[in-house]
Amino acid sequence: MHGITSLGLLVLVSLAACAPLRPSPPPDAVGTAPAAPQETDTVKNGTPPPAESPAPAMASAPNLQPPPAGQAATAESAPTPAAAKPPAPAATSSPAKAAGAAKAAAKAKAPSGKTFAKTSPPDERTAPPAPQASVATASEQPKAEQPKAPPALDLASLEQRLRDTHAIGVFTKLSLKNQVDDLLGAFRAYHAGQDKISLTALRQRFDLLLLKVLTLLQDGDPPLASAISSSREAIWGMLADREKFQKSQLG
Amino acid sequence: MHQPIYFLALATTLVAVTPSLGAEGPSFGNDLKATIALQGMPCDQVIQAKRNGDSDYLATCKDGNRYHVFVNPQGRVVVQKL
Repeated sequence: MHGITSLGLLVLVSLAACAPLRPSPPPDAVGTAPAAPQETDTVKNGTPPPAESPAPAMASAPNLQPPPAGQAATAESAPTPAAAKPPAPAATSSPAKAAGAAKAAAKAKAPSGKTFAKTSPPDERTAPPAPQASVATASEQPKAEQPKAPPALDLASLEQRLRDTHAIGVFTKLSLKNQVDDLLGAFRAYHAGQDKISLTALRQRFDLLLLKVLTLLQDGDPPLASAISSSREAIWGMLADREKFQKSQLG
Repeated sequence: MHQPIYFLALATTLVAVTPSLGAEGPSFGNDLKATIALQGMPCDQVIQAKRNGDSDYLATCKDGNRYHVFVNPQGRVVVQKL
């Protein structure tokens, strides 16, 4: 009898030990979070959305590295919509769609709060909603500022995730690495003025290679595929700009 | 008397199987197929892969194409149509 109990404990311990091995929820699920605070101020009752990071794919990466100062500045100034938006398809770039996603999230999470959002006029009608709204707006203020921060392009994290993914086999990874190295060599030659290849041709090669990577990842590792897809313009910005390219470790 | 053995076997199976659930990767045939496709060569499905040595394979595709897939000394994956 004692042996059975100890073995049962062993099973529980083994299950508990294996629990962290489950794949983490894809960033798609949290991709709609940044848009939520604008719509659900009166709905959430002050509870934070599931995620507040402006770039969930980057936030899910194990080692976040702040971008260089030049990158951050250009990420703010340069319009990089693909990098700025979350990787989830639901988290679209247009504010109207984002608002729709936030409404859908509000409907799914707080059906009772939906009535507040629908029925509460701008002026104060009843006492209970007013404190909720004030609490919610007070807690949502910092959240509304957070999405304005430029999304960090973490090449090292993406690279590590590519290395670790099980969606691509070893031969395929090596072959992809060869092609990435070839493309980086072409960029080096372009920036050094050695090669007469045009930036348009480099963009075509870049898009083709990214398409290959996304094709390989889209079934086996969708979160990584969406993270790479959303970083496309940021990566291109780094490759195409001579200073950024040389500042990065790629040059 | 058999119950402890049963539980032990169950626990061992759980420990052995659970990590592999999230770690499933493509089969080697799919890996070779993707490698061949990345080089721009046609292969619908690898039906046979014969190992010649370390990182050196002969792949036979369902459509009849045969390829020599290997890693050369420079570390590049080379696909040669046979």
